[in-house]
Amino acid sequence: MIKKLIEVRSIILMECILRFRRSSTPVLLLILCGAAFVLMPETNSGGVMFLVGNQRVLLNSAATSLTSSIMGGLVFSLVGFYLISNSVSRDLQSGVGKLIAATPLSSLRYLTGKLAGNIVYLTAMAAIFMMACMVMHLLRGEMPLEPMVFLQTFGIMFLPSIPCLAAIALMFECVQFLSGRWGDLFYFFFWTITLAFPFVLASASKEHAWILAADFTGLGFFGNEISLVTGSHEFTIGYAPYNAALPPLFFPGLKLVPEIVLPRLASALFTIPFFAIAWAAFRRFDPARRSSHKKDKTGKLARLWQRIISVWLRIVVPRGGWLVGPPSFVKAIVLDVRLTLALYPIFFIVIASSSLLGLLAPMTAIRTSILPITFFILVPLLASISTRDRVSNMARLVFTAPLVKRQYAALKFFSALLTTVLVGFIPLLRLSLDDPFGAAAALNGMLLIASATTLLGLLTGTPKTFVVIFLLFLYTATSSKTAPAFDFAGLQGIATPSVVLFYAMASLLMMMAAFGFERWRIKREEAI
Amino acid sequence: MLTIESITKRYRSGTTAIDNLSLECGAGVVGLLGPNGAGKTTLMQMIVTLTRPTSGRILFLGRDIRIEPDYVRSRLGYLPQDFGVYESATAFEFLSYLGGLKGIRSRQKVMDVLEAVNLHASAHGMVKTFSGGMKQRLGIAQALVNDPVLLIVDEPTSGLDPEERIRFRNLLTTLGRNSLVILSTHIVSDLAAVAGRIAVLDKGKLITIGTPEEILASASGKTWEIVVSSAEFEYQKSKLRISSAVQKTDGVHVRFVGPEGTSPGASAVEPELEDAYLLLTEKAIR
Repeated sequence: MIKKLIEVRSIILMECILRFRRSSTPVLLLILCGAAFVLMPETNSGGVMFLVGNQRVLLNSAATSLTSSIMGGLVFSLVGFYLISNSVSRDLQSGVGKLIAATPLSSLRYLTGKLAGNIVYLTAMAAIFMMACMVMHLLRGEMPLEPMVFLQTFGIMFLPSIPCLAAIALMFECVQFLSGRWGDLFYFFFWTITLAFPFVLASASKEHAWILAADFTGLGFFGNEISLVTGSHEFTIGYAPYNAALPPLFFPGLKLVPEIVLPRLASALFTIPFFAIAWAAFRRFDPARRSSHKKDKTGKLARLWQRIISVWLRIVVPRGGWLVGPPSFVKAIVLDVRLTLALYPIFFIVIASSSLLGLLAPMTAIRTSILPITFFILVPLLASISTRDRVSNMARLVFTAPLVKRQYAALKFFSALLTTVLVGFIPLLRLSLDDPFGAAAALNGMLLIASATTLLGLLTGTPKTFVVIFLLFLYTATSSKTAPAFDFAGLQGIATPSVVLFYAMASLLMMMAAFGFERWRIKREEAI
Repeated sequence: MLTIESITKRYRSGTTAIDNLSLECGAGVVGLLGPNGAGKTTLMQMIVTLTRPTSGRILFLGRDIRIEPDYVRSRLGYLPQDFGVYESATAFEFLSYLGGLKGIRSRQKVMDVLEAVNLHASAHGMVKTFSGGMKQRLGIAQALVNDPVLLIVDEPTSGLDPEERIRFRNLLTTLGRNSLVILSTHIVSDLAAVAGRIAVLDKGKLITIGTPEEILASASGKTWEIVVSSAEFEYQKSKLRISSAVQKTDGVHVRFVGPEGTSPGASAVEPELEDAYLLLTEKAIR
């Protein structure tokens, strides 16, 4: 038994070593501190994070810990997933998995260690965030700091949801069709669904309290708690202006009655089914069970598909012709686009569907449906353009090609932009005939997505950063029907010229930053 | 110690990597030789329980490894050809980690193994700062950390400098006294230096198994050398199974294998392991 515990402990320890030593960890800690700062605005700023009706709530420990834990929990459930969803794939890609597979460590203990490692890491991050919020309370709170209240509120929020999130991430890594970039996109949609889910459960829980056990995000629990304590259903968590004429409302804290708390704690049991699926799907790094060995290229349909793709590739980006001859920067871009299309044959379906719908759909649908969906699909596909060379150790080979090394960031930017335009060309063309400003705004959106994927990919070296940040931004942009500031691509039809100009400037700045960073990195690498 | 009974490995793509192979090995160093795609790596992956045979069984010390995989895993050291390391861990941390997974708790044991592979001075250095050879030695260390009874190493000396190669070969010879070491390599001289028996594989089948002397004997009287002009060499090279060709002042010294009379004027020479290997795989092709 002790030997088995040592094995699990070894995995947890290594997970912590690898994660805390990542260069991104200090950046993440800064972001957590920044988030705590943003989540607790000064009352004289005109808005607060917690309102009942339009009356602001006094900033005591109960109120500040509640708002920061809800908002933090919300972001954690999204960002946390992307932070931890590489523990098994790291072993697979690095080749350490083969060494582990040849040890007596059972798959169950391996996954238990990974789960526990995920939990420890997320708990540490949540604890640091909580401490940053406590510091902010000392600076901006209106009542003395009560650490136990913070501990209690954060505990109720995070303790059941962290194991669930850790198990979900593990499940996504182990189930083959959920792993990789499409899994990242799928999780995002799963997350958006879980945002609505708790409130449905919360209203149902009035008759059956235990139904809240199905709410592993904790949002439904907190919604019920606030209603219970304040006696009102009209409350706001999130920055909103308040009526300064009304005195601040005192929020006494959570009412921790067993019939509410127990279902909340029981929601942690969701960890078990997610973990069980991960365990059932885990293949212990067996090379024979990976997709490269699957019988997927022998069927008639598959052969037809391969033929369509190869003909299509030859049409879209011809192999010979002007591409043959002396190297040029433009040729390098076209070749990079060709590689992207070849690596992801799904582009064929995406471009064909987008073009067909762009021709046939009503004009309003182009802006409100076709372009937003195109953007969502493009995010995971574009994410690897600027990272794939370094991830696959190809960068050194690519850099030996003429004209590439010094202009690598520009190459990747134009490659991403050209790919994006290729996908959205027909809808964009049709939009330009009816609404030239809308088309310009959409093109501006394409510029933003190309520059963001280039900058974030080069900066962090992983496609995940771009995927999570841009999906979140895209979700906000497509959900904000009345805020022109978020309408970066004119998808809501409310973007003003100044908004378009702002995002064009942002794209330009990101491109310059990517260019500068890559130059600096190459110089540094050459100096070593 | 290790009994392989009629194993076959067929991938879902239809490719047969190992075809009805049987083998019996006791303590000592067994070398695996074969061209690329012969099935050496797949065979080793099946022995280390990384992948399962489609049919047949593998017994280690009398126990079926499919039924009791942990029995072999706890006595196993494995160094795959394309293994990886955690770049942001130190050598000591990495080895303690894999040692921990194999039930090793002693820090001293970890340091001893690092010393055995000449990495003790860099024990607390980050792996990302290591050269290719140092990473390879770390890989060797992790395979040795649990004092394995069965050691399986795939191309272990690639990336090692000559001094480290000799050091590692000596280590294998020492280990081979009480344990079974299965060594796969393309460097035939490594095999000649350490292997007690050599198994030649091709297209998933076992072509032959024997001591280096027995393998060499198979090429006796079938290894030849001839000196030809450069122009003649261009003509001859498509006709002969050449094991080496060296340009010297008097012409190209061509060493080849084949039956007597393959090339008139050729003189018989003492065969080397590489010649025997060429001859064996040529037979398999025919």
